[in-house]
Formats: sequence, structure tokens, C-alpha cells
Amino acid sequence: MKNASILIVMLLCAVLAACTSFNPKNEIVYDRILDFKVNSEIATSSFVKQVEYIPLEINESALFGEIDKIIVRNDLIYIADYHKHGVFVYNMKGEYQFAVDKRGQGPGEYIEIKSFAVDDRYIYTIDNFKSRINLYDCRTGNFVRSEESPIVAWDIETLHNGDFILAFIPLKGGVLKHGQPNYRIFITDENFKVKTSLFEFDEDYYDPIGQRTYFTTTDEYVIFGSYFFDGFTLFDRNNAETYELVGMEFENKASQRDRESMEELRKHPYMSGAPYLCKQYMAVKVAEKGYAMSYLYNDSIRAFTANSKDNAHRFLIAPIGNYKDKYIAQISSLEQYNSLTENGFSKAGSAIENNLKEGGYVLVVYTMK
Amino acid sequence: MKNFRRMALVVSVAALVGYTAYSSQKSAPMSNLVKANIEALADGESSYEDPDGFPFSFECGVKIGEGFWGDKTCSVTVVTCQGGGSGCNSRPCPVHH
Repeated sequence: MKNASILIVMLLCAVLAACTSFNPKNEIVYDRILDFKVNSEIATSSFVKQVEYIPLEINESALFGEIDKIIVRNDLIYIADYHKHGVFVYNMKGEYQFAVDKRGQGPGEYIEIKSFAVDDRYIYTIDNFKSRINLYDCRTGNFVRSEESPIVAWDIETLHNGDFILAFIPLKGGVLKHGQPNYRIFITDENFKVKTSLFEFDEDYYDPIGQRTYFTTTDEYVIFGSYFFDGFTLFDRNNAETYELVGMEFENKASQRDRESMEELRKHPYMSGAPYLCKQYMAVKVAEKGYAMSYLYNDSIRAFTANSKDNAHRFLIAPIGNYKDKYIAQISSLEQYNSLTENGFSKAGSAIENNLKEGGYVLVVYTMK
Repeated sequence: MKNFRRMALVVSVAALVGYTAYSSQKSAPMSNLVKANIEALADGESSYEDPDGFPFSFECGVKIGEGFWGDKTCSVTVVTCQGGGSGCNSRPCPVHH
């Protein structure tokens, strides 16, 4: 537990006297700024202790196209594909357990799953069409009950006191059916009644594009990031009204005006999605000139590192999740697997290779030093 | 009404472009089981159509990298019709698989 919060503690220590600001005029005062300069002397692989594979079982009940959000909790792997409108659950060996995947108008059925969260009791799914949050048993997938959602939300996470944190980001061309306060973050109580609204935005503000997820988590924190700025917000899961803003500083960084369209934003380096924190590390995707590269920030040495371009040994594929001291990534094609293993990445067994040949997914689990 | 039609057209075109680009780039072999699933999914899409849609856009994110070390990603914007909105209606939700 101590190890898992090293990065967080260091971040917080650095900002004790700082002042946080995030106002509707798009002016941000960061608590801490990370200067994006990659240390070319050190490869990311030097921080990876072990690489393991988990092949995800393929059967008629466990089919999905893309992994939009992955959560490891209760010794289970919860995977959501929002387009497939399902949450598919596996054990830690990759064996299929159950799914929440019933669309319709009946009890426990839904039109969409916009996002989901898991605690040690329930799976919570957002259905904005029905303005509902549906609760399912986290170990069986059985429907428990529905609650009215207080807002249209793009993402949800659980807090340790039973409260929830929800995110809504305005997007170009989108008009809400029912009005709601112009805030990006809503903290609710356990009955989904809004207690606190944070990060107000102007009436005419919108992000240039949406994200599949806006939250990542550690045991202690919910991490929020959107295209509004290069950086992220750390919400304390024990008291989410306590938060810290961390910015990323790039050369040739995008201005607020550049962020009004993806066409302009893509001319600059920018953070693509919320980062994944694990121990003293922060895995972040930075997009530039059409490439999205995975970088690792190591707070122990205060430096960003990249993967080696010559050798794929312990190559850190862009993480899509994390738990304990591990990052989770995915190999989604045999082509990608072959490209990696031909350049030094650990080979998997034949069962895993067959899974990839069948078009299935394989998770890669990295234990970090 | 004119603005709405224009928006619907833009969204539809963007989605079509996204779907086409996505389809052409996804070169990984798929099992018959997976293909059948995707087809069934696409077929079932319109039966859950709802008039209160929100055009939610995101980068398709398909990897088209030339080397193991980097992900050159498709920069096409995919738009899907999601809940909570008003205006992304009168058409099937775009499919981007």
C-alpha cells in the first residue's frame, strides 16, 4: 500500500502551499507542472520486473470488439465494450465468468452502457437514455436495482465512503435533452444525490472530442483527465473534495484556442486520455504528428522515459488499466504479437498464440519494480 | 431545421468515413464466431434506436503503426449516438466495428 502511493505522496508534498484554480474562464493554476522531457538514457523497460499473459476466453457469451474500460477488483477482471453494450467478467486466468449484457426495456435491462464502475458489492452502469444507473451483483452479474441518475454522465467511479464521482464533458454538436449545471465533475452521495459540483465551464465551451473514459484509479485516488488541458486531476477517494491539479508542459504546446478543434490540436503534442498511476509511475499517452506513444513518468527520478526503438524486451504497451503494482495492456492481433516477439518481447505459449489466431484478446500484465 | 439537417449530415458523413477507415485498417484475422457476433450486433443496432441521442465523438484510435515501438493511430473521428441528448436522432447509430 505504501509503495502504491509513493507517486501520490510526492505529488502532494510538492503542492502543500499551492493554490488550486479551475474556473469557467478556462484559466488553470496548477498545483504542480511536469515538464515533458524524455530521458533518452533510460528505457522504460528498465522499470518492468515481469511480463505475463492472460488470454481471454472466447465463447459465444464472451465476445466483444474493443476494451473501453477495464477494472480489476474482487479477483475478477471487468471489461466493458460500450459499443457491444456489455460488461464481460473473467477470472484472473482469463476464464469467462459472466456478463452484464441485456439490452431492452425490462428490469435490469438498458439501452446503453456509457460507462461503469465496480466496488466490492456492485457493478454500476450508466444508461443516459433512461437516466438510470443500474446496479448488478459484482460476483454474479445479477441485477439488483436501478437508481435515477442525477445528470448525464460520461464516466463514473466509486469513492471509499460510498459516494460516487461522475464526469460530464460538453462536446461540439451535442445538445442535452434536459439542462444540467455547467460542471465537469459531480460528487454524489450513495443515493446519487449531487453533493458537490466542480470545474465549471462556460456556456459555449466544449472539448474538441470525447474520450472512452475520463477516469482511471488507484486504491487511493481517482484520476480525471479530459482534452481541456494537458494534465490531470487527482481526487482523494477518501475525500473527493480534496483534489490536486497536475499539468504537463510540452514544447510547442497547444493553446486553449488550438483545443477548439482536433485539426488544430493534432498540430501539437497533447495528452491523449487520463494517465494510469501505479507505484511511483505514471503511464501517459502523448500524441504528436499522428503517433500516439506511451511514456512512463518515474517520480523517483523525476523523468519521463520511452520504450526502446531497437528492442522490444519488456516493451511497455500503452496501459489500459492498472491494479496493485501492475499495469495491464492488451495485444489485439497476431500481427502486433509477431511484431513484438520478433524484436525481443517475451513469447507466449501456444494456447495464447492460438487465441490471437482466433481473433481473441490477450492481456499483458506488467509487474513494475 | 436546416441547421439540424446539416449537423445530421456532417455526423453521418464523419461516421461513415470513420467506419470505412476503421474497417479497412483492422487487418487482424477474426474467427467466424467473432464475425458472426459483430454482424449480429450491427443488425440489432436499429431496434434500440432512441430519439434522445447525443452525438458523442472520439478518435477511432486504430493502430496503424509501422513499428512495434510506436502506434500511428487513425485520426478519423468516429461519432456514435449516445444517451442523454436531443438531436442525434432519425437515423441508426453509426457502427464503427
